[in-house]
Amino acid sequence: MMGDFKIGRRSLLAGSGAILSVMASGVRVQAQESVTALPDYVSWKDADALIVHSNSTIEMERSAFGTSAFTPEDRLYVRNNVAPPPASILDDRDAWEVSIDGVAEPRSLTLAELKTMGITTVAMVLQCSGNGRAYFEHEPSGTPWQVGAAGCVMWTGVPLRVVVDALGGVAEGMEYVTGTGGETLPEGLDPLTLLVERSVPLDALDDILLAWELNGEPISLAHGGPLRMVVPGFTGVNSVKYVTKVAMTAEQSPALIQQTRYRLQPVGEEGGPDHPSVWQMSVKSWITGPLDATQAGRVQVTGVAFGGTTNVASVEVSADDGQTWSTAEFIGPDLGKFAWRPFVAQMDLQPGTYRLVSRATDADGNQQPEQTEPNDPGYNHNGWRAPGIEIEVA
Amino acid sequence: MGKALFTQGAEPSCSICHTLADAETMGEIGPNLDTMRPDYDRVMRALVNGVGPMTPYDSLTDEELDALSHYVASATKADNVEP
Repeated sequence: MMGDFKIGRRSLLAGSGAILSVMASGVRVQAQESVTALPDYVSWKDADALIVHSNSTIEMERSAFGTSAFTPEDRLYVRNNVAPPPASILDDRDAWEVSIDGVAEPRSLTLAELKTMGITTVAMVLQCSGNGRAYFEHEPSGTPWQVGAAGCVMWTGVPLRVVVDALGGVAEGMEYVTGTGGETLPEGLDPLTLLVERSVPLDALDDILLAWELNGEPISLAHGGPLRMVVPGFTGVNSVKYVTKVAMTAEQSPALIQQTRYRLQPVGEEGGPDHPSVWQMSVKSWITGPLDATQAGRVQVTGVAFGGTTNVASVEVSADDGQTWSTAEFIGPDLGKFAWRPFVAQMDLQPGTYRLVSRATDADGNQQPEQTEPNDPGYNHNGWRAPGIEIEVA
Repeated sequence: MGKALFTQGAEPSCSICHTLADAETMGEIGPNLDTMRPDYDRVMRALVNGVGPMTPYDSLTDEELDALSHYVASATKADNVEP
């Protein structure tokens, strides 16, 4: 009944004047909303490299990717489900406390103590679950991210496994790692409707970091400082900012952000615990240049590709919207299976109109699909056709 | 009707989470609507389907959804204030 009701309500939108443009391919993309100044908490970022969808949803311009193996923090996208806590939480970073539960000897630890327990650095793609939502044709609710809600960054912290082992190991019967964010919640609402608390399968324990640095600097407020539970290979929402509690749990969090939101339900249905949760990322790539008119001759077609939870193995590039493909070469260092690889395909292009697309394959043989099977909220887009770029070669 | 729904009628109240100058609300949990300037359809989608931590407003009638969407789009001077 609910599905029918929703579809009926959606008919209010049918034939409406939504802001849409039609790309040459026929793919409909919602136009960017009005561009405004950066909010105070991210005023230090590079405004020329960013699209401000709202004060809590800020996307990196496609032209800002370049060919770097990692993304500078001042260009990195921002997505906060709930407004950040006050900046004063960064005044004494080492005093920040996180409680560790669901272990043999649960207790709270300060960030200063965590720093004495171990340290490692992981390069990983941080990607919003909704990156690419603009390419779904059913117009999902939410920010119409294109490709810029993603970056590849270096996190430094202590492996959660080290902390858990120091506290006697995982308690019996636990199946998830559940992180709780430190956002300030308002009066008048059931806390579970807003609490940022995410659970991921316990299998991820050996990859998770409790991180205090991003690209070699203390993590900013916008990106979860002073301490963030970072889950490599999983979409951004699972890496809980301002983490105040990390628990090994038998069940998934009761918070709505876990139970009904970030679920992969069919179009027209409400999300619920029976639908797959938005967790691991899949193989994906996109073109980063050229993005507009270019000169005939040798053209360096660049992009980024990643496998999600496993290495990306190869990338192909097409200048004719997928009719024929050329193998691209990776450039720059390999920063590990959770990172992306910039790539280049050198193509000789005569004057004319071209549509550039890329298609990656991971080490397990999984290849990007032409289109992503739609899900109602528009998560996990990894189709190769829609993010293509049309260019004029003169 | 839209303004009244925004400040009081909708449950939970939009004002708890959103800043909107016209309604004199200063909520800071969700997006600042004056900055975001969502058009009619975007507000409607958020109300009907939910978005992020915002759950659907199933208790509102179609008339109330229409009024609220129109009000937010108008108050923020969005590009499209009609469906």
